[in-house]
Amino acid sequence: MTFINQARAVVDQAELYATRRRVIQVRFAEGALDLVAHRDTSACALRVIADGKLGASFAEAPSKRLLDDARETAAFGQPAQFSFAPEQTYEAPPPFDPATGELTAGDLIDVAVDVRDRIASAAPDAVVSLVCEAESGRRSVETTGGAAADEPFSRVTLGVRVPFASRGTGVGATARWFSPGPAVVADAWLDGLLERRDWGQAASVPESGRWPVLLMPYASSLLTLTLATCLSSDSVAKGASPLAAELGERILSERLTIREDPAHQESPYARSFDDEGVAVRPRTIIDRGTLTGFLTDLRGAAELGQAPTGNAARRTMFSEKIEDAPTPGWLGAIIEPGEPSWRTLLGEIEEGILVTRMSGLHSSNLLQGQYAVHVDGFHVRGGKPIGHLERTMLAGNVFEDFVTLRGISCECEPTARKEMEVAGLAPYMLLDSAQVTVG
Amino acid sequence: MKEKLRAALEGLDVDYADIRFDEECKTQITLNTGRVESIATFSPRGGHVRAYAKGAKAIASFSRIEDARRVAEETAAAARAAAVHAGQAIGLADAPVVEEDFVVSTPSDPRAVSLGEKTDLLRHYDGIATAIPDVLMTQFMYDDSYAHRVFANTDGTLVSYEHLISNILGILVGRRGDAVRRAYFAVGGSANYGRLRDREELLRQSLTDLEELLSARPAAAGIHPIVLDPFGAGIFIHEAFGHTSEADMTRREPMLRERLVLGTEIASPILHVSDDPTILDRGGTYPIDDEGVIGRRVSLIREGLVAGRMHSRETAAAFGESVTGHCRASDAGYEPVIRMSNTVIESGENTLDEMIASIDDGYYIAGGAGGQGGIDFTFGARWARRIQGGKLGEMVSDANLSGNLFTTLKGISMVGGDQQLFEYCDCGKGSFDGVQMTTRICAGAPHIKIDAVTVGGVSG
Repeated sequence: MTFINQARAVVDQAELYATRRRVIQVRFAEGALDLVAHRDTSACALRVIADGKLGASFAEAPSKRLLDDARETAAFGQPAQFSFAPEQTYEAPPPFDPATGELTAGDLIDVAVDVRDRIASAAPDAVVSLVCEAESGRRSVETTGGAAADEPFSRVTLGVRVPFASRGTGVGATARWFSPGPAVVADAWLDGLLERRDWGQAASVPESGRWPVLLMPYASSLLTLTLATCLSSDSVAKGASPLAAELGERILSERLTIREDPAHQESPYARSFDDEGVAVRPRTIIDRGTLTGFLTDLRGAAELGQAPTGNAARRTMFSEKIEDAPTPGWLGAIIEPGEPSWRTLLGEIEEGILVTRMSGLHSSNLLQGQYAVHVDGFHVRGGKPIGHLERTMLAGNVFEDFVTLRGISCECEPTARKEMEVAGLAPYMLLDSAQVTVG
Repeated sequence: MKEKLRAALEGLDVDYADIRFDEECKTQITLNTGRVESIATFSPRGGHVRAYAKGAKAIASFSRIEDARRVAEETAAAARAAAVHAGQAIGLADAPVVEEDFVVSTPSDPRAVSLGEKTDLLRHYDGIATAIPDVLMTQFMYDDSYAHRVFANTDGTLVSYEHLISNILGILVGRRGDAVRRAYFAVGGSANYGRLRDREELLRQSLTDLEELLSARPAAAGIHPIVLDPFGAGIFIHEAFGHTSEADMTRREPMLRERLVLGTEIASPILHVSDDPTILDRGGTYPIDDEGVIGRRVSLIREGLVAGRMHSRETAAAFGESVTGHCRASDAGYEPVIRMSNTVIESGENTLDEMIASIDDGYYIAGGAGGQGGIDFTFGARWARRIQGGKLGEMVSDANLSGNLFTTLKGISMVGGDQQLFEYCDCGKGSFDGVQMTTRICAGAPHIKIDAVTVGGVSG
């Protein structure tokens, strides 16, 4: 008898989420191999509805204790306002390369050495740090309602950091490359990394004030993470979101269209179902600046009286973890590209900044769309980066700063956040002006 | 368990190896605006192996104790194979061999408290909060965690030790008109469940702050002198200097190593900072770390001079310094890395009144709503007040601070005599394995005055 059938015999409903993961990593520090790591782990999360109440438990594998623990917690739980996912069909599974599961540490060392040596030949003075990782496994969700989702995943990841000469090894140009399986890292990707390293050889900052801000694709999370808080069914249902009554209204620049497509085949974290076993479907959330939908999990959908959108994820703002209760969020936000190239947008900036990444967003009042973050990037003058930023904060409100968006590039790049196991696609976005404060 | 781990290491062809196996029991209860959003128990278990051979290193995580020997052998082989590509050989500083069982004791053990009583306590606090008309939604999260860890290494150390902690974190969201603001309520940070009870006064103060915050205007961006309250100063020293004093953060940073040479002037001479895992009954309290080294107090800044740093055995060897017992892992899925324990600014001689009176145009900053560390650090205030003409004024919202470590430490011009250690706090640290989020720490400080800090307020 399967575990879910055992559960069916003693509770009203049950949902079993399980993962199996094999990870091999190699790390190079200052050009030399520093660490080889293996991780072979499994984990599962059980949610039950017993006597109408919700409970949960977690362990490394299904067991009678797992079921008993979940039943015990349900005795103190809240009456469940929703049911676990019913039987449904799942569309295209994510790209999967079985060769990834066969990779050895030696194979990954070869990839890292190749990249290290190519960088060294182009920039002999560069001190390179790399992490190369092969990850493969399966994730599944099975419910007593008939949902039975099961898919493999595979990723090869290469993270590279090339420091700016003036700032030690910790501050420099960084990039992360993904592939479903073994592949050769493209020259263009390395060229972009080295170009950013060249821009940052000296430090330079603008005066504090309002300046044009060009966000690189990875920095687009300034918009998407802030929006996620406001689009979450939890904050919408309770009226805490400023977007609760804005469906059909224009809230951002008409230049902005944001789709949610978790199964997008270019995403390294593509998936055909969310963490509650609900099939994902491509949807438009912002259509030329107009709000067209929210992000819901099963609970939030029930509260809003809507069908679930398949946006449940077991994670916090910082990390994916199976113990985290499912909450709604982006699983594959895709910001549609515009027309000009990013170099054209850069060339339009007489004085301003180019932002590569930010930190401290979680300290902001995201429920109101506000942000105040420390930013890394470059000071731009006369359309050219002239040095890397130091001691620079960027602050504002997305519902003001992204209304007057000056331009969106035609190029899109993956915006994967490894720690949250989520990825999207984003272009470069040029804000007309935002508050830049330099300490 | 001990014999299984000792046997797993026996006869390995390595210079050094260690193995750890964790068995945990956790409880999490989340109450969302009066409704039990989730209630769950966890019983994760798993192990972690480290092997060093010919100057190279390999690590592995595994789930089943039955796999310990196989994983140890594979990890040893991986370390030997890696030696071909290794650079400078990885060394380990000497550490005393320890054979002991460390048992946690507490006057009120959270494991002895029923799920029903824990849930009722959250409902009680939630009831107080939701009775306030401006409170739109609440989230009260209870968690407790018990871990039993056994550690063995090839030096002969064989220990078992326990961690036990319980916390409540409340997030209170208020709305008045278009203004939506948050306040926080955080208690616990120890093995003593009793610390969670009877905290209504603290909760009511948070609700009073929230009500005032709903009428507050956002802070203006700029560079200002500030007074940090003890909680904010604790977050500041954790983010601004604590992370930089973790020796793995500076080991490969020539500029930082140069600026943090022991005895170098780094701060004003009135500043004394230490990290101490032996302070009783705090979030960062532990007897022994996850590489079998007894935790000890480290003076980080003494009279403004760099006095020490926190080490693992690897970094202690790299710096030629002694081990400190600061190498910890969130759980079996992670390699231990250097983490702060209880990081404090020691009390000085100034009063809060003196600090406020000395500021013509600045801010009083209360608490911390998260932050990130490094040479350039950032953290958010829970709320702030204008200081004008030497007097405390109106409350302002959305004051996020940013600064440079070196200039900010030298800008500390007053230190109060009213040190407080806060209770609940987690710290995340990015590492090779990912971000280790759940390591418990504590920080504390008296009020301090900093002469110039960048306030990244929303308005210009």
